[in-house]
Amino acid sequence: MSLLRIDKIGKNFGGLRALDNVSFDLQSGEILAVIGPNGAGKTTLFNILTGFIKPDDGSALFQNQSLLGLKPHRICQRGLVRTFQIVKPFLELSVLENVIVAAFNRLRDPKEAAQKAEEVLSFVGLADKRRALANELNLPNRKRLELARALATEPTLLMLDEVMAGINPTETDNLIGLIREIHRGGKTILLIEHVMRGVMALSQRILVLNFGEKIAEGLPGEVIKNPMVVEAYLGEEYCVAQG
Amino acid sequence: MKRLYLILGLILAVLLALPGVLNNYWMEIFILIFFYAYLGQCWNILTGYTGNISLGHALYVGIGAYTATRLAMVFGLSPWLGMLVGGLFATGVGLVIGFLGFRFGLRGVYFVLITISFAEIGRLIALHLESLGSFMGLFIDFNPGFLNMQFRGNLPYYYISLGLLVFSLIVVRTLELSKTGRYLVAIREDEEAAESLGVNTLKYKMVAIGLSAFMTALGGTFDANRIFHLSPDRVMSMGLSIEIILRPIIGGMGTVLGPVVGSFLITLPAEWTRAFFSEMGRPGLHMVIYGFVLILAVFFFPRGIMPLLTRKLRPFFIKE
Amino acid sequence: MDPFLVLQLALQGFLMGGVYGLIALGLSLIFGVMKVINFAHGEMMVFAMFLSITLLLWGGLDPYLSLVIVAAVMFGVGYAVQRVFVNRILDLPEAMQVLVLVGLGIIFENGTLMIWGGSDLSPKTSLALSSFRWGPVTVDVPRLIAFILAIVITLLVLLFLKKTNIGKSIRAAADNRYGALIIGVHINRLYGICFGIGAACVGAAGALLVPLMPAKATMGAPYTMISFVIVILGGMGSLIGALIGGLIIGVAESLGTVFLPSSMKQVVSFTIMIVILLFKPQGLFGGRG
Repeated sequence: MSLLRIDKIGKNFGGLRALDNVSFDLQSGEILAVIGPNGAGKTTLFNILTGFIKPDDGSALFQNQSLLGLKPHRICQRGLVRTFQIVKPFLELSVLENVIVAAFNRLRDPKEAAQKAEEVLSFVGLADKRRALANELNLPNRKRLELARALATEPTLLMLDEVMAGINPTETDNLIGLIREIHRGGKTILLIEHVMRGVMALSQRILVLNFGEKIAEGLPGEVIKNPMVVEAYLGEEYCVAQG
Repeated sequence: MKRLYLILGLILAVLLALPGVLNNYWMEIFILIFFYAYLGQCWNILTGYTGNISLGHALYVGIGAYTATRLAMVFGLSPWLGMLVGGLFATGVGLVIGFLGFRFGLRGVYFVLITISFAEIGRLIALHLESLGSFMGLFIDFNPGFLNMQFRGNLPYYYISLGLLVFSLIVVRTLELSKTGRYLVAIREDEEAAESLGVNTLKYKMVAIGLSAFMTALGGTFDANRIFHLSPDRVMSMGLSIEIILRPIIGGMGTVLGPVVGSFLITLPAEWTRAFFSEMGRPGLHMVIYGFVLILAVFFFPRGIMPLLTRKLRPFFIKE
Repeated sequence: MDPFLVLQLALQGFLMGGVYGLIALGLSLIFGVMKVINFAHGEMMVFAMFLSITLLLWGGLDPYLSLVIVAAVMFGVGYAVQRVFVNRILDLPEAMQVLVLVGLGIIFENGTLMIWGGSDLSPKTSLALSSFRWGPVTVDVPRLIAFILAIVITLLVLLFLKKTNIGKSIRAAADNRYGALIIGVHINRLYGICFGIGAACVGAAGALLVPLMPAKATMGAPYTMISFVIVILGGMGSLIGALIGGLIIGVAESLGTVFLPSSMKQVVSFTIMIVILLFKPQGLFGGRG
């Protein structure tokens, strides 16, 4: 049984067909990367899966139950959590408080939530910044905070939206290591990513979207050689030039 | 933190003992300080902690005042019980306003306008209902006795208002440390992020407005039984709504002590300016000054006073 | 119910609606450009009313003439208020903005009180009591003139904003503050002018109202409220919406007096606002929701 089963999802924004006939399965314990040029519909897909927008066609099953029509907080309670492309920390709260909020997804008691938050912060390497206000953090740390919050909700499926954007290679490697560890801990991961280094290092399978349609799916090695994929990223002329 | 509680406990002890040395005038001042701090704190629960600004909180004050008073007049119900009924009624109204506002996704200025609308409609209704005394309002017969929530002299009112204030402080502090309170603050900071992390934002905003409305209404009953008179102008006006929001905004929204600090800082000078300039026989002058002071307060303390105080006093109270 | 009464009321409301539209125009401009709710709007209008009355009592100047002077003075006042007070709060949290504008409202209202006292002033003007019959209804001349002038002024303002360079800059700044800054627009001056125009609108409206009703220092608040309702109905930032909304509200309020006591007619306006906020928050003509 697939953890996540997406079937013929479609979405229109006015006259624009943002997503068309997108289907795929995600098995428990996998890392699947969704790539594609800007505007391909990746974040729209995330928004649909997390309940922020409704699709016009198709179905989405998580653990065999439909996700559609559920509010985002219910989806998170079911075990599906996402991070945002442009991070959204609770700015006036401390790092610890940020994560405590997330920890309450599964816990009721403030003390337990605080404890869980401390553990997660240690895991991502922000323990020493626990009392800093979120608005004092630099971008790489804000990304870690975003990740920590998502983890504290104890998800089954973690959806990361361009978590490696805007950070330097060293930080990218740190993040890659962190995500690997999360995966080793048993989480299933769905990544939207532009940074190919991360995509190649982490993903077991890749899904490619272009203009809202799935144009390729498969093992990393195959996908990047797929001419349609190359064309989507680099344009037809490049393909022709390659021969 | 323990040091802070100690100091606060000391201040409380002083306030409890204060009536021994205060004359009637000063007791009245303190009652006003406590009362407006209480109302401001109730408002704080909604606005300071979820970020949705209400400019119509006087509506709940009025509901509390009118409900308890009418129940006492018609059924002889003790205001202590009438207070609770008024509170429930206010909660109902608050939930309706909240539902309309939150369900339809009204934020910011749109939400403010809806709170103003309901408050004004409430005031206009009260202004015209015979049973509520129309524009003259209701006059309460003076029958002192504990059951009637009426007392001779200011002393009992002093302790009741102080009690209400302490009660509100406890409620807000407890809220701050709880799951609910933390969810409210998350909603204020970034509602979308909160929602994506499992927070049922609609439910919690409703909890905030319901609780805020309930507690505010209790204050309305208290006020009615202290002044023995209530009219739409006194207990349901926009002027009152503005007075309610002043102290927490200047003191610091979203903090436990903000409304209290704000009340101490504003109420006293406000009374003095009023008394002083009214003497001079120029109607309106003291209000003009009031307006300027408000504006200056915002210029100098754009986040309220508490953040400044916290920064200055933090090393004294908290050992890292 | 007498159909002629309804017609009469509707007409009176419609004419008054022209003035309402002018007042709301000012608010819509201020809100559309600076994203600030001017809680002092009605109070500024009342101040202008008293200015107009003073010019009448001292200089014998009829309000329809002193209109221009009052509008000019109010422009200056508005510009100053914006540069000194409002500019500082544009980046502050909303609650703080509310407090400052409310403070300004208090200052205007009580300033008016201080200068002119608390009693009603209703000086005689040349046309105050004249009226004529038009078929089944009676038309108040001052009301008609107020309506015509209000519409003319509204159209002038709209023309100004559409055709002149300053007007276009204002509209640009409304759309995109940072964009405007980048292309070198003097944003502070622009905001000042914008607020000034808004103030001039209520200034003119105030002068127009002098022949119609007694002036009282504390009468400002309902006008602030009404302009909110109209701006929401018409759509925040839509200037045509302010005009049309004004007419609608004018008629609605007037017809409301058929069912409700006259001092409760605001209930109609507020109910309309609630309904609009719930079902079409961008208003009739508003673009972005």
